[in-house]
Amino acid sequence: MSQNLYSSQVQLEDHSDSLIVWLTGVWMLNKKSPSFNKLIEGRESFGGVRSLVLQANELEDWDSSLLVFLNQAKAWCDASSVAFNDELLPDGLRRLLQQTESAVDSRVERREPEGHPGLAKEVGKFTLGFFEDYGLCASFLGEIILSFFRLLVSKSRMRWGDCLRAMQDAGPMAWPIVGLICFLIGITLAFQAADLLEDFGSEYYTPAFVALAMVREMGPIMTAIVLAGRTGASFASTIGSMKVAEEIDALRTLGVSPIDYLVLPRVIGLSIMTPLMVIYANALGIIGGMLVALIKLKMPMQTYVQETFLNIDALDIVSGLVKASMFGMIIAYAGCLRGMNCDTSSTGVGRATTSAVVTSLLMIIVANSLFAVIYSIYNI
Amino acid sequence: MSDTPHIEVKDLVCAYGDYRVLEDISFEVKRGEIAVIMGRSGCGKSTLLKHMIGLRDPAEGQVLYHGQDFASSSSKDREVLMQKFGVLYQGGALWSSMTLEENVAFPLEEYTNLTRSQIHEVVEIKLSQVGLRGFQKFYPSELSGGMRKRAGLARALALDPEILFFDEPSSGLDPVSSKRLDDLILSLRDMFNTTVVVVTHELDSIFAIADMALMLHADTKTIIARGDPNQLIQQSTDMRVTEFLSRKGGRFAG
Repeated sequence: MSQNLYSSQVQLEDHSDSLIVWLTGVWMLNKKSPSFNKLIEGRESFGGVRSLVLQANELEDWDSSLLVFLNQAKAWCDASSVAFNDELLPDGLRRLLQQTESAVDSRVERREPEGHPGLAKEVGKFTLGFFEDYGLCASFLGEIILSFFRLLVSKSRMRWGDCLRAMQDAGPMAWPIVGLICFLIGITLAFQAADLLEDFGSEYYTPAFVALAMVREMGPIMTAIVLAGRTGASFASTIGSMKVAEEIDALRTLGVSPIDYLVLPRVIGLSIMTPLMVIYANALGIIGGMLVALIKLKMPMQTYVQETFLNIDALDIVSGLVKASMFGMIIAYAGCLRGMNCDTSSTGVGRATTSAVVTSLLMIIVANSLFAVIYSIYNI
Repeated sequence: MSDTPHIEVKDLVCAYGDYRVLEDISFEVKRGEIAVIMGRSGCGKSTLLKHMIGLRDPAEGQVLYHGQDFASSSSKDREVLMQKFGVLYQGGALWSSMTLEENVAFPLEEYTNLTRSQIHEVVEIKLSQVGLRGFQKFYPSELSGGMRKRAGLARALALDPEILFFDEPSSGLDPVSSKRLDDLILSLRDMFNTTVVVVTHELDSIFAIADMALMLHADTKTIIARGDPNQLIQQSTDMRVTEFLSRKGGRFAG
């Protein structure tokens, strides 16, 4: 009995104890090829068949699509206890078939099976991961503190040049964006304040409102947010890429602590530069507010300046700068933490960068709330 | 089979801006031939390869495949030609966000009409060919350097290319894996009549696989020797060639 299926490529000949598969024509991946499983599917059982014989006399051109077919045939033979006879196939094809029968590496078998782990396991994994991350953050902080003490006793290998570079990156290089954002924030605050205070005839408090909001809250927060997205992300990706390229291992093997060399200069640099940036941001915010007062409230410039300085004192400014210094440390800490613990792949660097920004924003907001509580308790 | 060489490089000049790295490069590779581009570090081997696979356009000259100029072809023709290329990069160049299965399946999904299950089977075959059967669900970062390289080869083989390009295939591999890779290159050529271009300075590989070797030199910026490496080492009168092929010469000698 013979059945002609895909006439250009395969024919089955069913003898009493053997099934002969005639392979003919062209088998190419970019053309439709028959599937052995479909060929067998729906046919009556081959109960008496003891061997499957492959014939390829009229086979023309072929590629991996034929191997797929033969692998399916072989799998069917193994499952049905039928002998797979490929002796009549071209040598090259048989060698390829043998290559594909290689054993599975033991490393694969040691691996956990794929599949959904279940809700309980997911929750467990998340919780463990959270505490692991908490431990990681704490130990990294500890390492930075130790490194700082080493610097104080002149045993650190920190280079001040790196510190200046970090300051330049977070300072002059970020002037345009920080300046623009805080200038616009000043304008927005002044508009809101003027509209609200005008209703009570108290629009002359606008300078005080803008100045206080800028120096105590908006200046430090907005500067920190910009620096977290700009400088913190840059720290994480730079250090992450260094980790991928084994540059951090190279430092360690030279006996140089990567914390001393890479992290401490950035933390110190940002803790100095962020308050300086905040002074600049505050000034631009107040100038933005003044612009609104001049145009909308027709307030003389001199009055605006006088009102501003009457309503803020040194403590207001310093309280904002102290926060800013802490925010700078947080940004550098989060950027370096995520960079140093980055996975060694290009996607790992991307994840580290995202995580650095998220971590620093979260920590900045938490720290800001703590400062608000402390300042309130001590009437600062 | 026609007499047109499979790959023909004509008067090629490779340059980065005004800096000319290679000049006056001309050679032919026949279908099913294994050509090795060799030479010391910095002589422009990888640059030549980049020009051959279309990552850089020639400053002057042509690279022809079956008589068709690659650089002046339309983008559609280039795409068709490039589907016939398989390239193994030095570090494997696997996409790290994808598993090995996804990496190898990518060219199949892009350029064939195979069903998902057929692609799955082709991927299994390709990974088996390079000894990575069962590693489908692994990410590149979970593999060793040598395994990544083999997975890169599986991806290069996915579309059963007519021409395979290898950039330093033996670097980072142990001698046994390196020998297996050489055997695989030979068997691919024998079975599929694949044309192979290998950039390397590994002498063992050069002698084991090369039908034709081209030696580049940084001083002349040209090909200083060509032919069967086993004959070159015996017959060449150029000291630079014999020193390279016999590993002689002083430490860091110029």
